[in-house]
Amino acid sequence: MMGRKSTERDRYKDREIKEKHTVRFMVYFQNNGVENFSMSKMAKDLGISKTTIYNHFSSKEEIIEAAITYKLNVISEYQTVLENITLPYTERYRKAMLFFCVQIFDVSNKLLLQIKESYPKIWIKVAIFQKNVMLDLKSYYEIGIEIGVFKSDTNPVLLSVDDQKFFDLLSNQAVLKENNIEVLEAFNHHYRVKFNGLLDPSFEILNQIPKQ
Amino acid sequence: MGRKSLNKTRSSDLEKRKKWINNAMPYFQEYGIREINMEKMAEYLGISKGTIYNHFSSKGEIVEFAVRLKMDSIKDFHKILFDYQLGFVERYYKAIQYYTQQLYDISLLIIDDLKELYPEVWILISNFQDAAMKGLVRYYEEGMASGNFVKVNPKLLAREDRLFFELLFNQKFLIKNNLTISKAFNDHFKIKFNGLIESKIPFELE
Repeated sequence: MMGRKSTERDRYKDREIKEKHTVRFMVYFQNNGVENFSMSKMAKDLGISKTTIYNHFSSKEEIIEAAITYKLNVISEYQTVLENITLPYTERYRKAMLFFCVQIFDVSNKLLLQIKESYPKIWIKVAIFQKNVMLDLKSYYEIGIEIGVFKSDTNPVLLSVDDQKFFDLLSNQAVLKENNIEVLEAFNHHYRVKFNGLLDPSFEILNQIPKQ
Repeated sequence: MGRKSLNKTRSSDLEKRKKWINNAMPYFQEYGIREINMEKMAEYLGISKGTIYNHFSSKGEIVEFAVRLKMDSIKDFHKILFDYQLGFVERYYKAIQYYTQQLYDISLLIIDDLKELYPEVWILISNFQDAAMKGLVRYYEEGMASGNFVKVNPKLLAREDRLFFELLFNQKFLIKNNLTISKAFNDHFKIKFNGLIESKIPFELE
């Protein structure tokens, strides 16, 4: 009983150290996944004692949750940029989503799937986060259409789903590796085609689209 | 002996089988392929169960035949994509419109069930999509070489198209957002070719 109590106190003693560990854990999970995750092995690989880990976290699940929560917090910084009214409207998207893509690129589909299967409670957090990203993007497009930056006959839902598909593509790291494409290059591609279209500006499309 | 004569009949009347399977498409759409009921299907086609069995040895054979038949007609999209009589953009527009509409029929049937119940038939579709992407990559490369397209990555462009096709398979999504295949396709097409931005703002990358 007594020992337990003092451990509790230690856990809250140093948030900074705790966060430092959390960052390292997230990187570790990105490289190793969370399937068959062993506390002893992680402690050994990272050169931290198990006791130190237990001083800050009480269970495996808590470690994974802390790591994922930390990562989601970092990623959610994209919001500030997307809503930054001092930037031109399209720049807001470009800067925000470039940051977003570089961040999510580290988190593979494989890791997400493992979390979904083995840690459904943590997965809910991820799923809610993803849903909110879609809502943010949808409203970004809606406002863009309203203020006349974007074409009025476009569909904000499709536009945001199109982004989501692109993010999925990034998380499926194999596709990029196979084609030898860097995440930055992929994002620039996505942004360029989505916003300015594939056609060379000197090419007049209007005469080319067949009538419905 | 009897087996032999059956096989003969089966191989002979390809046109008949094509006709039935084409007629059976709406049946698949209504009932799916998870539990094909031969009796119901025969009734639907107005032929006897015996006649069906004369031509197909199993339900799996029926499903495979249906998928192959559909893919045979989707293949024509390659012809449209490389029909040099058409305008450059028109080639893409018409080819992909055709492709998505045809593929949609298969998706109505089944996609998920196919993966699970007839993985070997699913591989046919998956290979088919790979081949379609190769055609698209060629088209994009052609467009960049001729100066119609800005120089971006053709493989990524084709990949994005594939992701879009998958979206069209998601019926729940389409219904929820009150979209039709052709509406979604037109949106995809317009944005992909002309971009989202209202009046072309000069594009710069850092």
